[in-house]
Amino acid sequence: MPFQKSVQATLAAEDRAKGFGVFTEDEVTPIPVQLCPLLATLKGESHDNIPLFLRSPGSPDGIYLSATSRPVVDDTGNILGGVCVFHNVTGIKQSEKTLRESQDRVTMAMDTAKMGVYEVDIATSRVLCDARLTALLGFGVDEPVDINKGIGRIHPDDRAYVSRQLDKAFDPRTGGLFSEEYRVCIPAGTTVWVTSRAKIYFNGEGDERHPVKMLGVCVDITEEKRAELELKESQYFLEKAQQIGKIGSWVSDLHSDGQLIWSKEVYEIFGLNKENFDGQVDTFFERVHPDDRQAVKKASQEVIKGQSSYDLDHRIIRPDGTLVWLHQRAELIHDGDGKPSKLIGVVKDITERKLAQEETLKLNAELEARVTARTAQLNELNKEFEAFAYSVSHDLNAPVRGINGLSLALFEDHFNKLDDHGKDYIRRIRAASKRMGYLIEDLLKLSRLTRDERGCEPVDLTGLASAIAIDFQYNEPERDVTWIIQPDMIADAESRLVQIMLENLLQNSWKFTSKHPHALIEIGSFEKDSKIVYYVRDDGAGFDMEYADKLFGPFQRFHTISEFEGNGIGLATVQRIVRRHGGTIWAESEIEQGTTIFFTLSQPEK
Amino acid sequence: MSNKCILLVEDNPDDTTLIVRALKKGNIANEIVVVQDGLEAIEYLTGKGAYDGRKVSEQPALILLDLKLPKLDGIEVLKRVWAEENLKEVPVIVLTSSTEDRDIIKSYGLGANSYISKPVDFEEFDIASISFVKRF
Repeated sequence: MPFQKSVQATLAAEDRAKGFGVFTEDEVTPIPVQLCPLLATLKGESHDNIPLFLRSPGSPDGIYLSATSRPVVDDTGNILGGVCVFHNVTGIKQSEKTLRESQDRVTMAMDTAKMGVYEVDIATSRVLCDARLTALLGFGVDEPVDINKGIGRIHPDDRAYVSRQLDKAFDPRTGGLFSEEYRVCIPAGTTVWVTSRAKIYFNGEGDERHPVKMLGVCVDITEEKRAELELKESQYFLEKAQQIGKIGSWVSDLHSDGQLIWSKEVYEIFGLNKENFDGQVDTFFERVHPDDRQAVKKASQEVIKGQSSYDLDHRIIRPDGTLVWLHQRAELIHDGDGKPSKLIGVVKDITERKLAQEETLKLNAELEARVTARTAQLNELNKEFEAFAYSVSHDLNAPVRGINGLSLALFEDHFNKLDDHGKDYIRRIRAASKRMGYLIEDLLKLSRLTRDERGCEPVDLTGLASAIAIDFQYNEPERDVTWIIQPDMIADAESRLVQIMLENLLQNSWKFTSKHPHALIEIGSFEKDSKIVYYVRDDGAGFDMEYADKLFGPFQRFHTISEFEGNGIGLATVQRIVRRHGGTIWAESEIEQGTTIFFTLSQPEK
Repeated sequence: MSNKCILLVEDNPDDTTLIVRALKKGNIANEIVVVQDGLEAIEYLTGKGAYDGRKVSEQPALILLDLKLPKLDGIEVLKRVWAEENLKEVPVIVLTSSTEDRDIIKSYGLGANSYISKPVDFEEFDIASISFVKRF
């Protein structure tokens, strides 16, 4: 048969492929000459099962062939030709391809799921793991693994439980399937969460059945577990925070009649549980205090109508009758189409705060009532005092006036009948009664200080002091007194009282310097501890500082009447005026060197 | 000053003595009628009660009126005097030991023509007040 040679001689490889449509099994590479099974026979070669792909007009989708060739030789060994047998293996090829693809998918799925596969031969207790599981459990690549070794990897806390579950699965009456989540400890020291599912195969019939093989998969779910734990933890913290803060959260689904989903704490706040709360809005409203129901309904309706949120306090009544004050905040949530879909809100138990508020209000009211009562008492006392003072001014004055006037009448009308002693006595009676009159008058003035209240205004101390000084000097022009009055002293005070105060102070200075041929009286101010301190200084008679604490008491006198006139009311009056202004007063003095009276008026502070 | 009488309304006998003496001393020769309380003053002025039949056409030249009086006080007397048509023209000098602003204001408000404080020292009264009284 001469055709082989001519074929070999005339066709280039590509042309051959094109001409015959023969390719390698990759379906695109033309078959190389050396692989052409028939031509190889001419070289005396034999080939078995050479895969080929043939695409021809008769089979445009192509067919897979398996070629087996043998040379044909004569008795002397000369090659006479060749035989080639082609099998159409297209069907087998396609099955293989499908199987491979399926395997690829399984592998990919297992890779994606980090899934390992294991097989246990129950009789020998030998465990076969795939590479992934071997690596996951930290076994060596060729390390033999038996069932005990496998169980040894399970976390000590989970081991007993898993063993029990395995026993159940191996029991033909109950088992057959094993599905558990547990931890495994790998030698590197890490703990991994896995989920393992396996099927147990049995041999035998009925009661004789016994497990022979276990085939299973094992997946690393550490990350999922961690996420789950974190979620649980965060849920726990949220719950705890809500519990501590007595804050609950809720969602109302507007697509299903406002069906309510409550957090655990809302149930606590309402004193309800999942059994006796059906999530219906009406059931919620049943618990709202009747007086507040309308307001809560209105707030919910308005928020759904378009107002985006509400914020209100209201009361509820728990099933056991306890009244609870709530603070509610809610916001409207819209779906993708911009329609209202949910109302979500938080609710806080503010009972304690409310009770405290009520208590405060009650206390305030009580306090106010007490202040009112005290004020009324005080007013009553003031009235009584006023009546007393009024009575004093009339009734005390009248007899004194009688003594004074009648002794004057005696002196004038019976002058000739009196000797010098008698006349002296009458003079003294009149002087004494006059003093008594002044005393009464001054006491009345002192009492009036507390009764009249006129409010503060800027008072020109410099101007007042100057006017008083001029007045004194006018009445006793013969006296040689140098006045030093600091200019521009303005105090925020009650002007009438300041006038009385300055009159008293300057009167004292004027009086106690009267025995000195030359005198100096000074009125000024300085700043101390951010307050303005005023002073009135003289170089007069002075007093012994040992008695300084008595200085401002009423009727306290440091000099006899024959030395200096007076009744001891002046400085008491001054002190009362200073105190009325929230100020303080004190004195420094030295006998025959003079006295300085210092005082502050609370306003203005610097 | 006319020769009509002066009505002194004063309950304190010492004050009465001293005022009468001061008036005499100040050469005021008018008859001085003394009544001791507010009611008596009104009866005198209206010719009723104890003064039933007194000619009310003859009213005093001046009333010296203490404020603090038994029965009817001076303020009440002032009110009644002011309310009586034939008394409105009679000058009233309020004479009292009160130096309270409210008494002074009230007195003037009720038609008092003047107000004199009774001082402790009667010498001051003699000098200051008598000349004042003479003006009425």
